Amino acid sequence: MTDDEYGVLLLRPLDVAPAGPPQIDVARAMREGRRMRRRRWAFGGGFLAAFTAALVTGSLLIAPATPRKPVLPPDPPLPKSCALAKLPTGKYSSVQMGGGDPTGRWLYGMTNPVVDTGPMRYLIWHDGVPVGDVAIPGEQLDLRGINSSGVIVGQAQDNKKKIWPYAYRNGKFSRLKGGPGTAEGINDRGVIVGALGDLDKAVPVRWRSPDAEPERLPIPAGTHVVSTNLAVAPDGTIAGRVESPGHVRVLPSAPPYFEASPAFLWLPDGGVRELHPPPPAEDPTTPVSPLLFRSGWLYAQQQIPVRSNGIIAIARTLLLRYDPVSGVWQQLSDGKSRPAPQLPSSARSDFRFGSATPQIYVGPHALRLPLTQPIADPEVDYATVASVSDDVHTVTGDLVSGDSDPKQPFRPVSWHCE
Amino acid sequence: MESGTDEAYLAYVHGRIPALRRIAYLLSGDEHQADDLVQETITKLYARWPRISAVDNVDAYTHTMMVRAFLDEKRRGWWRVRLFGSPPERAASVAGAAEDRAMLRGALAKVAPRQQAVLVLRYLCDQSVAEVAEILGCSEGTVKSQTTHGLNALRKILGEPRYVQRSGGAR
Repeated sequence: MTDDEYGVLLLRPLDVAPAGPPQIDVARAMREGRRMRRRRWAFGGGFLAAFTAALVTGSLLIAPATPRKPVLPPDPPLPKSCALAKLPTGKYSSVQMGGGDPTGRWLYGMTNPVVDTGPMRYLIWHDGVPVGDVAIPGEQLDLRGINSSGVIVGQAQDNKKKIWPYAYRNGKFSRLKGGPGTAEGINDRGVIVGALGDLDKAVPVRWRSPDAEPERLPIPAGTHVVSTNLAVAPDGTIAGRVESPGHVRVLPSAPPYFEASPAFLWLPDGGVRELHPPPPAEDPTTPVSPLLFRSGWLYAQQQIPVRSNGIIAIARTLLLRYDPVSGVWQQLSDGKSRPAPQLPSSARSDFRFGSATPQIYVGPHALRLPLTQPIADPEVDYATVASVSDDVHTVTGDLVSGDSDPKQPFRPVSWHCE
Repeated sequence: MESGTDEAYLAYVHGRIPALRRIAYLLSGDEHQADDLVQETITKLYARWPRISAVDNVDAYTHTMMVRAFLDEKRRGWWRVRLFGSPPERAASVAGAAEDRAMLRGALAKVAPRQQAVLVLRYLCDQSVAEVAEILGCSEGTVKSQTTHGLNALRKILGEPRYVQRSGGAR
């Protein structure tokens, strides 16, 4: 057999046509080609000589056309206005809003959030009406996520200071299987993400339902997961970050001490992908901390540390978002302006703090939330945002007097935005 | 119709897109990359159209632009950049002809880009040695030597006897 016969025989199986429809835009080619013509003519005769030579040799290359722009997840429309309303709290005068589901119909909040001001319970609202008043399991309870069926997940500390993952549904709390740990999020399919084990040995897990056994997610040997950075997407994709032992942070907002601390996506098909955000100029080793999934994006933050006289502090916090399909990263905030808009999330990140001029992110845009009388006193009230529905029609939070008097009640409110 | 006009360009491009797309797909092995290669080629073609349209063999010139765009992107590692942060390749469960194609495509990707282009143009696009030499802007001797080197590289990767027999050919 000759080389040619061999080549034909060998490569023939590759002789198939592309199956999908062509994604070729002739009009765009003409637009960009026209710009290239103008650019080239601006170079003058010397270029033309080179161009003529290239016609002969075929060796000229001009700047490549821009690769096709990825289709990014669409953001909801920016509402034109928002109206503030008070949420009913029954017999409780102080309720701190905890969070809401993606539809904005289910909400939850904690009564008497300040220590020694009354019994700590959870109020649950549906369509703005309280439908649950629930005693907490254990000494303390931290609820972290709720789905559109009204199932809530979180963690409770028992009287031996052990922390257990819990789910709330049908009017009562129940422990998730697998032992001590935390539950950090739940999607509309009922998939729960959390971590099991002690803080410095925590492994990420997925429960496919509140009754299911936990499934351990793979992490690099010698690392543990940072449970507060776990998030679950509607399709079951899970985001999180791992750390090495010996770097358990005392404060959740403490900087990462320049150590490698990679973030991952655990995909529904069992695959795992490491996230590589654009490295910040000040410190390229700064890790990215996932926060939540919304509208097809993963929101995340990067805390830029700064050292001064041996003290490490956070210089600023960048807010990013990542499209898992196209791999595109966008920076929403450079962390330089305060107060920054808040995230569509409950109990997540540094982007949740009280403000006299509350704003939220709607995609890359900021939406100002009004503090209108008689519900709010714009002179003294601070507002904290707890949840934003996917369509941005329902925003919830609470108002508190800005004079730092702990006896001042937390007043849960909602903004209806159109 | 005047050869340097937009109308002439549109007529030429619309008539050639299927063939250009096929060549781009054979070169790259990926539909999206193939479309990007075609898009880049027809953009450059339009930029030069007032002068190129009058040359004797526009097809050869267009093929040259496409192959060189393919080689240039390989050199820049552009495909790798596109894959950065994308879903990892999944080990698809393929069988039969599809398995052959996947194995072959993987082997071809390991061959030097210029040799890849020579093999694809000669054995999949049925171009003669002279035509490939014109497209690549090199001598016919270079095309022949690149062909030999490319085939030898594939033999090393694939193990010649097994694959050829499996494809139905006698050795």
